[in-house]
Amino acid sequence: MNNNAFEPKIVAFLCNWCAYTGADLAGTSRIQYPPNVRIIRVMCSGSVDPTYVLKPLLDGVDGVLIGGCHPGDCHYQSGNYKARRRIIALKQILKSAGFDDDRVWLRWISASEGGRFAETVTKMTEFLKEKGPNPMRREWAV
Amino acid sequence: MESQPRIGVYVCHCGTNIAAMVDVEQVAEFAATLPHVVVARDYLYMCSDPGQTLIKQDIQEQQLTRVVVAACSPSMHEPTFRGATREGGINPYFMQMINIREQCSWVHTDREKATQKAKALVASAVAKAALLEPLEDREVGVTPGAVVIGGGVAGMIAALDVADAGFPVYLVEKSDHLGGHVADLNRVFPTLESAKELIEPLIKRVQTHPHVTVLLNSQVTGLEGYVGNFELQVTNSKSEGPNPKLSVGSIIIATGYDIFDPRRKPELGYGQYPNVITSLEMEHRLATGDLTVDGRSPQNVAFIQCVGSRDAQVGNLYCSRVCCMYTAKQSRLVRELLPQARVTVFFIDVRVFGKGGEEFYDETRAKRVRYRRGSVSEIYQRDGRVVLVGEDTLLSRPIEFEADLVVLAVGMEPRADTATLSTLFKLPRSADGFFMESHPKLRPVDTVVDGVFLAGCCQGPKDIPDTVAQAKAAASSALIPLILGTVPVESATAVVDADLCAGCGMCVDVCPFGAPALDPLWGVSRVNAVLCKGCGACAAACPSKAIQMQRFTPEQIMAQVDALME
Amino acid sequence: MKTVIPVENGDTLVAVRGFLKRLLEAGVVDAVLVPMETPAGAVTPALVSDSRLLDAANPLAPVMGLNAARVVGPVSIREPRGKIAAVLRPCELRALVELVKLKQASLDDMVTIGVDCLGTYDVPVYEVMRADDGVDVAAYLASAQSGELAPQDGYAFRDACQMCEKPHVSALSSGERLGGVEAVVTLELFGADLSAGIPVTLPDELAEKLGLTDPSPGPSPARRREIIEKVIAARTQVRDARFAEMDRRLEQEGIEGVFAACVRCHNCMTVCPICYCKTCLFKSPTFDHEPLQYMNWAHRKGAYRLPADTMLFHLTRLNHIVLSCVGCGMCTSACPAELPVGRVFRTIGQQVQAVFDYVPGGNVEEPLPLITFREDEWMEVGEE
Repeated sequence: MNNNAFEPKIVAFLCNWCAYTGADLAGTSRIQYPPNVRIIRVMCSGSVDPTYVLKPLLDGVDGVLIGGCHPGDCHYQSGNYKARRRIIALKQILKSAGFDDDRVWLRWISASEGGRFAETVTKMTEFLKEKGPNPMRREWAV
Repeated sequence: MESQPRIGVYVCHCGTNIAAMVDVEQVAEFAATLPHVVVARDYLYMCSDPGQTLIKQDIQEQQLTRVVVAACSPSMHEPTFRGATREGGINPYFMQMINIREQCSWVHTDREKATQKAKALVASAVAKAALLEPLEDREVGVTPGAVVIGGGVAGMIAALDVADAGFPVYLVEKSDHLGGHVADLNRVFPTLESAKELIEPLIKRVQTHPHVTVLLNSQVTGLEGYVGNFELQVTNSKSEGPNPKLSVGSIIIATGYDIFDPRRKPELGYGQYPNVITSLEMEHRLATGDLTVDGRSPQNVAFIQCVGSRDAQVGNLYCSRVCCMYTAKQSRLVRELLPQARVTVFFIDVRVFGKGGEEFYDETRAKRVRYRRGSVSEIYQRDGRVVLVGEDTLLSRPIEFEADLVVLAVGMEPRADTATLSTLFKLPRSADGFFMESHPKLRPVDTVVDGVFLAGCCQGPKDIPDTVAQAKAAASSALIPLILGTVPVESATAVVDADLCAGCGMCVDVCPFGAPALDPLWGVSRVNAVLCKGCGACAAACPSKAIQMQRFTPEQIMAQVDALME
Repeated sequence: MKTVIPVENGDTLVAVRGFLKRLLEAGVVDAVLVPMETPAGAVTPALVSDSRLLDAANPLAPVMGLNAARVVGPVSIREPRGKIAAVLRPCELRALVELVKLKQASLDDMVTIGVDCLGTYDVPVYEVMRADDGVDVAAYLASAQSGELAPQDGYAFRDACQMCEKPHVSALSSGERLGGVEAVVTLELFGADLSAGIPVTLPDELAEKLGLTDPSPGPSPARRREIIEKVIAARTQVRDARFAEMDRRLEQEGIEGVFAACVRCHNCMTVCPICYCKTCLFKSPTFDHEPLQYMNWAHRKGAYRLPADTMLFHLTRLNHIVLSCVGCGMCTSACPAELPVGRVFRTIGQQVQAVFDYVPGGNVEEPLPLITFREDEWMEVGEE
């Protein structure tokens, strides 16, 4: 497959208070980023069940981004700390089970970091282009 | 179990904001092919009255049971479309918004890809909408009272308005006195009224108001909670004792500005030559009436405008908005004190837009203050006088101008501590570094943080009337939750299916608010909805999903994810 | 107190039964939860209140049909309840610790009796052995003294037992832990001549109630330690070889390759002592899909494996329980496709557990890793 033509698909779970608002700010500030990301709004990064990350990965999505508030900034006090442990566990399971755990990114993006959001999506898109498509994209037997 | 959902999809053009980069007609056509969609439309402004009417009519005429609006961010218009959905006759929580403006048209340049993305987002919203459940509105009580940060004109006016409405106000001021920059001024334009006479009664009123508590030498160092119930940690630099925690319903930020330090433009010789002074130093001289330089009355006084403003070199692209007027004021006062002297103002443009501004400027020129369109690129000293070198931009001729006294009309900058407060309050800043309002036209005193409002120059340079107007606007906005006594809170809470709950208590362990608790009799989790803030940490911890977050159920999220995979 | 339960005529089992009977007769407990031989010869746990029926108790039978921690939960979870003595193997004790943390069992009013484990057979293997050659109990128990744990000729221990490096127990009161799994009463088989006596450690007041007033050191602790270390060394070697092999397979084939033959029967989940959900998420409406949905998926990849969500099931189960997986291997025993479920869970489990420095089945007071956090950990995560 020609990787230049490959357009990775990224699903992003963004917390309502920081990362999603940061994405809004990227919009109001007209900061351009690749159209490869599809955002799902959740209330808190701590509400992201690993199953929600596994499901698209097995379906063949090329990357999953989980965006939450920076440590200390969680609207719900500690959701991001719990998310951090949960995603670390998930990534280790993926890695141990033979998946590319680096298709899963956890990033802290504040409401005022529109630029950081755009930059994160840009970096992730470039990284996944380099990496190539998720083999699960064509793997029917999962 | 209800029958199959009937979904209406509404794709907004937002004028050309969306339509220019997203083929909205194609998106609507695509939406019409999605499961359960019975009508899909695109419209110029969905948030307009006719736009909302479309939704209401369709709900009634097409028996819609779910509504999807593809438009701007839900933070902008979710309440609007929930309202329209309610007025159409169905539960407002049967409306799902999807953001194709901030997330699509405004951030992409490839129309085809942006349209593709918009379609995917609409598909995911439709998938979720089909699974939406009705909810009731909920609200919580408000702590009556406000904190105003900053004891300048903006802060004091805002504090007084809130206090006059009968609510307690804590006015937190970093320095050891009230009054802000205005306390340093001599006379104010365009009335030439004494600044002292303006500010002192104001300070007196604040100090004696029964509802205002002034906290000097104090800074906010911690913030918890949200609209209706904030808790602020205040640190007093002079006291060792325990720092007070302030509980209030709303917050007004009125932290003001810093004055541009002209040392950052060394070519103008400030700090090097005693006859180059700032406009603020000129205020002090005008207050004492002593304009002498080295014991001699200056014969040639020059004013240079836009020092530190409209200047890419120092990174300040904005106009400071007050310099033209205070220069007109100062030059006129100089002319009155020194009738024999030549008074010249070097300007890029003259912007005297306020009420009475143009008239004042005309009078100033009529009093023989010379306005010369030109930029000064350098100042050097020669025989005790200074020489201004630059270009007359009207005549395209070089300028070399001798003066005994040069006044630099320094502009405003964001305060040095803006970054700290921005982090503390999670407030974004605009490109100029000042705090950002949540909408430049329609919500100029609101911020993205509900219950936190902006007043005065912390949001951008302003003169006193504009500052006061914004302070009063901020006060009235801040009063809304205080007067209502309640604020709406997230309607969606966690709910437990007791039949599924094994009573492991992980939801109890992960909830920071104590909302779920194990029922000692049945050994299953029960949620106290009053305590639930709707974060969903419990649902993520529950392996059987016996506890779920309304509006973010696993079915809904998995359906959204799945729709995005197409 | 350490003492030795005397064995007469070389019949170890009778001595164990006598000890259990005394627990009931002295009124120490209301019932004993212990593996019993049914009239048909099968071995199953039962809650025994009549001491006479303990003549059928056989906690030394080398067969494991389920992890008994599963059945301790329901009889202990809430008051009012009886006072129970539960006779458990080390992997059952460890599972019980996790279940206590998950509030699915309680150690209140419970006397845990831990027994060193010499290895167990799967039920079908045990049945064949009983029918064809008979179970050589004497040889089995003799292996405790030598530490040469080996299955009967022509048979194999359960897969998990072959790689079990935690086969021994440690008395809560003894102080000499040897890293064993803790229980209130411990029957310490390793290093002992079980035809002569069964070393036991138990709290003094309990010993008094049972009339065991004569302390006896039994075999030297050094001897016990030596044998245990020998067993652990042998098992660890097997374990590490299997970890390495499974790591290789997972890397090459992926979990979808290793579990390719899964039929999603949920047996692994059903027998897992940690899988405590009343109804598995994968049996809930979340995973009831519309007929057209299957069609969409078939179109998406050209083919869609059925039953649906098979790998999602395994990966989600890993997410839910792998930090608490004690490696009892019941999942492997229960798998109709004979998939190495337990090996996968242990291989992945030890890697994930290492990340959180968490030992499942260890300390009841230690919180489960995913319900706790520290603010200043993994500070680099999320910032890049």
